[in-house]
Amino acid sequence: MDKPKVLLSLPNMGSSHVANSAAVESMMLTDDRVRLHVVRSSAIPVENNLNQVIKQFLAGDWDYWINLDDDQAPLGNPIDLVFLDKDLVGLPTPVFKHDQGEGENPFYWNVYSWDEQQQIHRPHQAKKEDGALQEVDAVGSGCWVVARRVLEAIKQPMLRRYDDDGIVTMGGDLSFCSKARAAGFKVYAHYDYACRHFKTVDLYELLRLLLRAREGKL
Amino acid sequence: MDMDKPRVLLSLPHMGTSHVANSAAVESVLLRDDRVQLHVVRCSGVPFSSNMNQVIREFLKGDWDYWINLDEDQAPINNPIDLVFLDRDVIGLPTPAFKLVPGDKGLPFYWNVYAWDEQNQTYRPHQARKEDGPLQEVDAVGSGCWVVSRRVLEAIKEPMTIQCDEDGVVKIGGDLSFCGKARAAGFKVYAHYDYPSRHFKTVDLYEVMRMLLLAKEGKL
Repeated sequence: MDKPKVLLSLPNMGSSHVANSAAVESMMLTDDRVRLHVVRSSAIPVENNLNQVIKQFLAGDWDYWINLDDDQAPLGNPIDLVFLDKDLVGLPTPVFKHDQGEGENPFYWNVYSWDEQQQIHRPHQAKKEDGALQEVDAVGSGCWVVARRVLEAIKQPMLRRYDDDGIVTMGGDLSFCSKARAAGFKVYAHYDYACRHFKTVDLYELLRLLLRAREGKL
Repeated sequence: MDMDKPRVLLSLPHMGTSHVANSAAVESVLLRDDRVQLHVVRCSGVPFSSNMNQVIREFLKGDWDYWINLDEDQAPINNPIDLVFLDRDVIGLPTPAFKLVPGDKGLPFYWNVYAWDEQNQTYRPHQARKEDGPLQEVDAVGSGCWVVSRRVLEAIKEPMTIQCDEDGVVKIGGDLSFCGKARAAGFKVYAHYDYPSRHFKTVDLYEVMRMLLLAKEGKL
């Protein structure tokens, strides 16, 4: 009965990548270090979906919440991170941004630093000398581990922020991290626990990108 | 209606959805081209070879001059209808295919354009040379986006049927099998490198990012 109680949420839109299912089945469901309860949820929008999960979490007696999106497949076992007992640990995953300039690398990790001047989150520039576990300002929720104490402390946890025109200025996960930090909690990214991220992309553009990288133009 | 315009059957095979870039190409380029009389069929039979063979059977019942096929994950960069006016037997619009082979240090991409390897009795990616120009005669092309003349379809039987080994494992896909039969019947197969096609696939961004880093370090 002393094992940590973990709620694993698997938000989805009706399907999940096979690598996601394989990671859950072969790594997480077989891990007997914790008592794991799985919820599959598909309410929309995603912020509402995750807020419902959190409400369910708080109604129970779970110690940690792990979220794993349907297009994510962790390379290491997220359950390991439960035993670090941090407030919030994100498993970095690559993000692809299409509107970068011709010479720009369109990939970055979903780990962020707060740009006070511009009032916006920017990709965190990780330095190897800072080690694998780095304190950061925000992480994406594609795969993360959150302690109960954080969820108990913040209200409307995953709500997006909008400007006067109703355009999103901050996603639900980054908003969550901001609220958590404002409440005195710390946010981390663990670069030894990267996550695969499956997205549909144009192979033609990808090929052009790789050729540019090979020619030193990226 | 101008009866002198070439009559073209455009097939759009799909499994219930198509990429938005595919729909956009069809709507904004192909459907607006008044150089041809275009008829569109959307089809989702399974397996794929049967689906394509059904399209060809429908084609042969009608009086179309050319068949253009465009898979749901393809988006031609230029207008495939241009190629109708070259009046070739088969022209493929090259599209990148992605194959990750553990330990392989080359780029994991190749065009779906092939040369026949007689010794190993298999198709290998065609090594295109710039000096051969954009329109190159080859041994086979993929059917993701291609233009085929009626005379080819009239000449070959079970056109898109896959070829399997003794264990029932696919040895040659339907499109490559089609090209083999066409060439055996005396037709010529081409790839037009000025008409590449985008190809939308779900990939692992983590692996792609690793490849980019390797490419930047000159290791790919």
